Amino acid sequence: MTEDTKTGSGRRPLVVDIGPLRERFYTGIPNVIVEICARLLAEDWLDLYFDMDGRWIDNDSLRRCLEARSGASLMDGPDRFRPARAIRDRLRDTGAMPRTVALYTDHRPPRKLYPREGKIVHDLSMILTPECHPPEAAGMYVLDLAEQIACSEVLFCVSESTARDLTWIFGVGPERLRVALLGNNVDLRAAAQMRALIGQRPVEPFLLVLGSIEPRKNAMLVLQWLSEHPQVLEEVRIVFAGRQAWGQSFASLIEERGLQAALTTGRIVFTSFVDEAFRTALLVGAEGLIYPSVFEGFGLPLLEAMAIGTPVLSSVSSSMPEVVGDCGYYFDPYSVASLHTAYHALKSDRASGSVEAIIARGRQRAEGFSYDRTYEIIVEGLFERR
Amino acid sequence: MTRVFVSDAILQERLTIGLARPGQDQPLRGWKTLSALYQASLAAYGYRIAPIVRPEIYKADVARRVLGVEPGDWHLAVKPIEHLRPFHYIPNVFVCDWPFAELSTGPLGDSPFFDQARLLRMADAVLCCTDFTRDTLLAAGVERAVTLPPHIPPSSSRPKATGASRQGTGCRFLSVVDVDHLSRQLGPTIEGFAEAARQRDGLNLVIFVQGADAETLASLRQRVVQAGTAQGPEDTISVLGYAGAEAAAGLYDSVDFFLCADAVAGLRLPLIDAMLAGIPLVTTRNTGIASFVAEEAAVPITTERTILDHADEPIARFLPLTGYPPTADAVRDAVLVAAALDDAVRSRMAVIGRETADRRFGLEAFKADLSALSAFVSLETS
Repeated sequence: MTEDTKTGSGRRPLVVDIGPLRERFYTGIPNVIVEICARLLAEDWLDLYFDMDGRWIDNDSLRRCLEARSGASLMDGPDRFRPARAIRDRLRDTGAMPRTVALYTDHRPPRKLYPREGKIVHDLSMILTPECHPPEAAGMYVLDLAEQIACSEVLFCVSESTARDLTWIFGVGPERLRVALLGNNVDLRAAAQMRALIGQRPVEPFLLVLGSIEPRKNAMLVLQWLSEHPQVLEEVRIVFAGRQAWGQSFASLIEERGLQAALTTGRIVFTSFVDEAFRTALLVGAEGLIYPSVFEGFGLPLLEAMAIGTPVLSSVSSSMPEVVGDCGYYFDPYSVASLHTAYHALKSDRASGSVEAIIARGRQRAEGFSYDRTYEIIVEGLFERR
Repeated sequence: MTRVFVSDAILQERLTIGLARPGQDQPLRGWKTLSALYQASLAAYGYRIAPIVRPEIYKADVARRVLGVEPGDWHLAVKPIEHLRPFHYIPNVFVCDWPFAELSTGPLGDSPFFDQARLLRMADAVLCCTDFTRDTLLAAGVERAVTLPPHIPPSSSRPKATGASRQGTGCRFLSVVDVDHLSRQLGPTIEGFAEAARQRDGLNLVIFVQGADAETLASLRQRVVQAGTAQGPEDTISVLGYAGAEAAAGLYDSVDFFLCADAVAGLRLPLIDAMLAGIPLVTTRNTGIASFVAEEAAVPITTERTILDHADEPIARFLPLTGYPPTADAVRDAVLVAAALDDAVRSRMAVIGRETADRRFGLEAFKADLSALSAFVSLETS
């Protein structure tokens, strides 16, 4: 860090709201917060205070939680942690409050608590696609979102797409926006181990559909495609990996499209929730990843697949092209015909061998996404450095 | 050929294929009708129409390539203000049929989409269905607002103009209301007409409730009974409902007057249908209706300015909305005045109404008005 961030008396106070780390198993947003917190903890110029659900989490407890990639240790007996108001008391008592900066890693109170505050905006799906969420969840999210945005000096968007949504919906000017694309933390050693395990064994070709079963993730587009083009199932198996979230059940989606036989014979496979190792194995073994999501703030599974070397058939919606660039096969998430075209493009490139160039480009592109850069942009934005 | 991407889906309609997709039987069917009229008008002008469900998700260059967007293409959104969304990086034209004098000019409640003026200012142009709406928007600082209603042609579900004015001498009235807007459109029609029927023999009223379910119809029929006399006004007032366009065929046949007691209205299509069919009007004449109904074309129903208790608009929880509802007495008086008109007066009213509607909502008028858009979007069609 440069000297200007170290000026004044001692270290610079930074309060970090780490609410997403309360989850027992880290995926998605918690994994992003892990990356940021790990880098913050390595800084010697920061005086760090972590707030989770109104509790002051000490640095050592947080380190243990990051290592375990689980919030279980924080949630078991939370009363052993002091109330978060003690953070403010200390900052006031030591005269550090005027120099204090706060980072909210997801939700934040709808009022200012510190002189300068930044908020990470992961996506505005709840407000732009409310019909894709349980009504009560969408309602809660939107409740004071305008105030949350209004009282944040700086907003960190995980994609240009999210920044544009903030501008259109809330009229946020560019001076308050920073685009901090997420990074690539794929464990390539694990992927290599899986690849070695598979080795030269024959694996029947399959396409992987990653994502929970809920309207926004749009698995139904793939099922509709299979019902209209059943010959695809003779060429590849389709593996759906993701938990049953909300909305119509996978079984009823299958039944409505007359695909029960394909499920019974294993041409369609539904794994439900998969752990990291199984997920990596599936990504390594797949002929391609189909990601039909209607809306994303970023699209980490796409980055993961590209890093591993699995070609992606990606929805062309929202932020996903920012991740995939020119290294994938795009389709409109509202069009079966478009998905079919993308599938045939991949099939054709597989046959000709030209898919290898796309895989190589994808790997190279994935390497360009770095959490170091994400972190740098956030720190620059919080401490007003350009 | 230049394409116009048209979005008119809201809420559950924006889910992807395979999930429930409401059709004509669902709320806000009036917007779907309006959208269909704009699409037909633009197609007649030479544009290619491409429906789009969720335009705001296609932000990247590659997204526009996948959709085949070409330079010159633009987006038309036809939906209530709070549901308007952009198609980024191509011109956005929003249709607005807001029937109130008030327009919010700041955030209200929880939803950023209740800042109506800001949302509308984000458009490259706003097509207002009436001069009233255009004036409201201009007053709120929405500068790119122009009046441009769609071409409204006769159709199988609408009456055919007779070519001459109707020579009806009876007293058969028709009222067409939308189930989503019963309070603003039906008002005291039943009670006022029942009172008129007590004072003059031979009056009949048919009330068609678009989109009504059986429960709504039963409730309205009960209201007719409650408004009745010993003679039984249920024989005088019939409440019917339908969901599909086919059921509306012949609706306007043998009608002597179209009765409209709206407290507020935008582009009131059934009333325009009546004008095109040469049916004299008995109507309130406020907000949007005043933009296209000449004084000479209607028997007026007097109204009183008031803040509406039930404005049928989600934003009414935060923004007081003014309406002009008639009283039952005002409806009664207007019906009795109409029933007493002689043939010559009825005929003159019908001719004025039909000529006005032909002029204002004809294809030529649409094409002429469309030129006003050239300042904002490409009018090239090929």
